[in-house]
Amino acid sequence: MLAEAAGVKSPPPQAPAKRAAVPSRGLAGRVKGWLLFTAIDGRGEQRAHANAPFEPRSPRGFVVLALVPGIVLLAVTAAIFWRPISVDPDTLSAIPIEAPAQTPAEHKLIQNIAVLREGIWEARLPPWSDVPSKGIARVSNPDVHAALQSLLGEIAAFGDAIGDRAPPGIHRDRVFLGQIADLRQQLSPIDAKLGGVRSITAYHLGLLALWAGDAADAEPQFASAVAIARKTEPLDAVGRQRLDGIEASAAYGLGLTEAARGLWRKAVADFDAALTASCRAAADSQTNRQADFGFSLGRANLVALDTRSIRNDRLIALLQARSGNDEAARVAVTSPTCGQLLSPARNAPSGDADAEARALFASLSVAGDPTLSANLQLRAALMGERDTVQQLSFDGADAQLQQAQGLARAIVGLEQADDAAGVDKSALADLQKLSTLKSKLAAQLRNGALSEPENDPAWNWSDPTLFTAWKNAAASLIAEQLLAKADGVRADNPGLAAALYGVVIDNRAWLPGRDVFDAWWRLNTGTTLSFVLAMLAVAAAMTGVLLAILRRWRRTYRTTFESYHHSDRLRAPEG
Amino acid sequence: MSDAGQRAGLSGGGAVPRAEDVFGSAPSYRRDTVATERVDSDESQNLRDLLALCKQSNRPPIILLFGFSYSGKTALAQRLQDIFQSRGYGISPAVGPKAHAERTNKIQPYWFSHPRRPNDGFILVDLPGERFSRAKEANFSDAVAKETLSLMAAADAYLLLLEADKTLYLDELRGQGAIGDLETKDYQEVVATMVQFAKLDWQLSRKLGRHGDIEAAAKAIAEMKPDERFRELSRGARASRKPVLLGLSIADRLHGNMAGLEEEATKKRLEARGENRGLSEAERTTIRQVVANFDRDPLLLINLRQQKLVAQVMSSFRYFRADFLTSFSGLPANFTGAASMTLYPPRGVEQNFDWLREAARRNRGGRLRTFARRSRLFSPLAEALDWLPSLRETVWALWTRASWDEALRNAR
Repeated sequence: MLAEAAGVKSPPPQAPAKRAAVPSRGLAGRVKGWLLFTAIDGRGEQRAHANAPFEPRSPRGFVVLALVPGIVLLAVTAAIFWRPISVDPDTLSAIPIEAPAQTPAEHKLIQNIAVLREGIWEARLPPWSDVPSKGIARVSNPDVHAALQSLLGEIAAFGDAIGDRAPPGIHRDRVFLGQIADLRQQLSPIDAKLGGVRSITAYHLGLLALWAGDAADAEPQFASAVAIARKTEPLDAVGRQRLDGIEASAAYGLGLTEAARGLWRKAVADFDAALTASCRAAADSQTNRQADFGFSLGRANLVALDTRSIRNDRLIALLQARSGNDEAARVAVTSPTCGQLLSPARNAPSGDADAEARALFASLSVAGDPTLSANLQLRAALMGERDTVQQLSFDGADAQLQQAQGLARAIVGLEQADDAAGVDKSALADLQKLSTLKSKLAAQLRNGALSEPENDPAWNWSDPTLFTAWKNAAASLIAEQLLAKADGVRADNPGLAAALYGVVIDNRAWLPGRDVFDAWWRLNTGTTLSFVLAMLAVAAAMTGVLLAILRRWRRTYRTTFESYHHSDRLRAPEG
Repeated sequence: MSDAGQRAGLSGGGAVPRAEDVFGSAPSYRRDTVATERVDSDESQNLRDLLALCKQSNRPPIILLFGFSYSGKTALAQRLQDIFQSRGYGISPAVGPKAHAERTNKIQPYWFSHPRRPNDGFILVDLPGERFSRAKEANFSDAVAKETLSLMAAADAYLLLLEADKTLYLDELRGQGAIGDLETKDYQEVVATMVQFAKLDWQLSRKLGRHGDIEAAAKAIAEMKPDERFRELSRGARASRKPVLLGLSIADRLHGNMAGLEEEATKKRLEARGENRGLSEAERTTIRQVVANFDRDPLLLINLRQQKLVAQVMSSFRYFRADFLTSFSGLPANFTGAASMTLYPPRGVEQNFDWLREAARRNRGGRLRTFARRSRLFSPLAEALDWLPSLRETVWALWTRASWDEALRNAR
């Protein structure tokens, strides 16, 4: 044949199409085929076999397929971790959680306050070099003038060396005492030559006695200096200011000696006198009319009294007086003069213990204000001030305030935390009263910028809504602790764990909804909510990635098998 | 020439066909697309320009149009000119009827550029199949071969044109008497050349990867042993990233003749079954349905009829698609007026071409990628990235379809 001669193969005999004869695929193959067909092709079966145009095309298949791995992941996770607690919950008599722990900064602060409470003086006596010796010595014997001048210089240098501090409980060794005795020996003959009663010598003798720890000896010296300053008539404004400065210094020293002897009430009165005198001196100044403005009286004003020291020592005296159940001292706290004097300075240095303590306990009167008292008690409890909590206690207020007080007492350990008064199911509702202050304090101390809440003009310790604020802020902390505790005991003691979860669920009125839901979730599923959310996020990410892959795949598929010629022809105007 | 051949517009015995036979429905102003006279051209200059251009990092994609005579290359180019002109493109030089398209194998790049969208431009280069055949005959050693190889290397995408009816119904056409045995053999040769073209591209890209520049790669190919030159892809080798459009051209001619061809095929099936009868009404209905939807599944069809070609394309190229192309369908044969091409549907030419140039542009990459491919430092990284599989690859679609479509699975 021509065809064969030309090298053309004759067409092979065509067998009729036998679809049924195709060897059937396995189940896996068929499932794969169905899956890919549904997900990628997306057309109806008949339309796909006829390769009809790709519109319409259902996105259902590939969306479902994209969901499959995520759902499988969730199902597997659930099968592994789904362990609901089925035992009966225990009956709780007390809840084994601890009150919120102290932050390091708080701990340091509390330590400082504890040091104060133990009576170590933080006082800085005013360096006498700043007191106008020249004016006082004018009437004195000119023979001793130069000697006195040099001796005062020595005493000032010694004061500088010991930091102008005279801690009464300190171990005074022989060298120290010998130095003081030497100075006294030099000063005594000068005092005698001057005729006995001179404020300058009296003050320094008292100062030396105070440094030596001899309060009984120092007291008359300071008292005579005060008396001299008070009875001397000033000639002019400068003289008055000097006298006020001398009085302030001497009264401060007098207060210190009385404090050292445990005469707290007298000490407070003398400290008040010193503060008043220094305020007067400040008011005398022509350049500074701000009165009690932050204690920046300097050499120009001739009076250099660090009234911060006085305030601090007064505070300590007050606290000690309260400890001693001295009712008069309690009254002294509430006197308006003192309240004004002891109000915190606008520019008070931040972060130091005395500012903290002063602002905390001494600035306001709590008498007749149980709300304030309860708030202060809670704050003091937070700081570990057990005595203060005790002192601030009150009787007969409404139930909420009583609960707050009970809570504060429970925190510092004054009362047993039990069903009656402590941290039980119902009283848990009061743990909230802690956290605003606690977190604020912690943050400010951490930042090194302690601004007292009292510095805020809008702040009001007597604000009854403070409880609500605390409540909201503390709730999540408490709930977290409860949940953590329950998780800890879950394996060994599912009954207790169930009971603790129950506590959170029962307190859903004020605990955050997320924690309540978490507790419910942990109780009923055995998984934590965050774990579940993480797994959901993973599943969603898997679904998203798969969706993107399948979408791309679908487009490739369509591009490959779609006939543009065909679809154009179908849409052609001429048919 | 037989009646059937006359009707179908196919030449019967090797004589040069008349244009209206080839493009049965082409308007008269497009009729003289097949020219006989040769003109001298500055084709070597064109080639040099192209090679210089393809070294630039930011350039329009170069699309290589590869097809044998009568496959409708020039008609397609003219159709593209019409389409893209109506879309606001400028074409240089014009594929115009004014300067009659010559029956020539000169290399002529057509620049399609848009005045406001510089990134949308592309270059269409016509590579006649005879040129490739000549290069092959010369064992890829002469100047023509070198030019051909350089052109292939410079291209970003291939548009392989095959006559739709001969590709899909070669045996039926012969059985009908529309084409003779010699012509049948010729067409088998054409398809075989296409297969070789696909194989060669792979070798070329390998050599390009090794030698870096086109001239050296062409030289290396020329120096290869003949059997080595068209060797199959070795195991583990990645196919080329150049997108390929298998265009079943002159689809309107196929459509016009399809009922007869299908009848022929059905009769043959009946004969093979041993039945000697006319077609039943049901069978005629089926044939009508088939003809009505003749173009809806081009890749599957060409896969059924030209398995070897599709298999070679599949293993040599990662991105490809097949579709019917019709250049002048819709215009009456004796149309002489000015044709408003927007009135007549482009029959997917536009979309197919958009796909091709988009894929070409994507695979060529931007400035960064072209720079990385060329620099000695980054080229391993660029190669690794090129090697990575992509969900755009056609093999994913084929794999998916084969998982449920038995027709495709059995064809493979």
